[in-house]
Amino acid sequence: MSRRITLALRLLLGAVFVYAAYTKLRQSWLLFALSIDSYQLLPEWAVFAVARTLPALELALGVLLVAGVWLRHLAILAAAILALFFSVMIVSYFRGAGIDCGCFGVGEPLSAKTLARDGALLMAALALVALTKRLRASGLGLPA
Amino acid sequence: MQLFAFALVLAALIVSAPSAQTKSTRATGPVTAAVRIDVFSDFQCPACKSLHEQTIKRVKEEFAMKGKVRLVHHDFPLPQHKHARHAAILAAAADRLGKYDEVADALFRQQESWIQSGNVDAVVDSVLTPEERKKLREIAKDPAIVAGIERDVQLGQRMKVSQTPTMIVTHDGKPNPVVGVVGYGVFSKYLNSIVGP
Repeated sequence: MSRRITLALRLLLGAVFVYAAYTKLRQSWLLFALSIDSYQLLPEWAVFAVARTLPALELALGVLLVAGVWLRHLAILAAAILALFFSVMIVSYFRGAGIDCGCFGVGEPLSAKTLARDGALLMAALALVALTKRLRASGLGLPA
Repeated sequence: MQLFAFALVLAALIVSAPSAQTKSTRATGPVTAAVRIDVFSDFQCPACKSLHEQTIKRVKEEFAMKGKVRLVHHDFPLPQHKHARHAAILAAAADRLGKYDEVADALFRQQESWIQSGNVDAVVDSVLTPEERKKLREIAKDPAIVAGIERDVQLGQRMKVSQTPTMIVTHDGKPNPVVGVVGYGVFSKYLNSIVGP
């Protein structure tokens, strides 16, 4: 059972990361830079650095999660990235910033709905971390 | 179908834009510019103040006035902002006197004070001569002023504007919404990438 849930979670998270990367890579990276800048949390150089690198990181993470390699480490990385996104969104939402989420390209306002979705994804990533740890401890191995 | 809808919105944008004959300064830059920026803003919203002061003024100077982009201001007073509509009416009236920029700058600069006192008129008056003040009061009574603001709001709703400030950057027939406050550095780099040399 744990193996099936692990498989479902890694495929779900992998697909979400690949889709998030696709929506950003198909448009100008500067449009994504504008979304990041609207959060008003990073200096200009960091905005450009994140806009340039994050889509590639999301793509690599998504592909590797779907492939099922280095699963334990990648599950931790996915959870860490989603936790970071979630905290940044929570802070901006409660600060009253009327901005775009920037999660899947442009045009999606940061709302309670986006927070619920990202919160659920974070929970899924944390569950994947826990399951991979348990499977490893039980010596059952991870599903390919 | 999507293309048809976009053509309709674009036609509405062109019709709703203040014409050059009225000497309006709510729209700057050539109508034929390859890039068009429609700014939907509310005088009472603090984020709109930041965007106006940090970014829009410089975009106007560096891009619109140099003919690289067409920059158009649209009023989008939010219902929860008690004095926003009155401020928009006075600014639109000031536009007919050729004083839009002065009034808009003053409204944003002194935003905190008139939000608290509700005395929008005093802020507007501070940048006008006594004669202009008198004319402005007359113009503000014109139903066309309120109708113009209503048209802006309806246009924003058609363009799926839900919060302020929102800029719709249209290039190659494709509208891209930019929501919230973005700094001039990042925005100008984006504009340079689509405006070309």
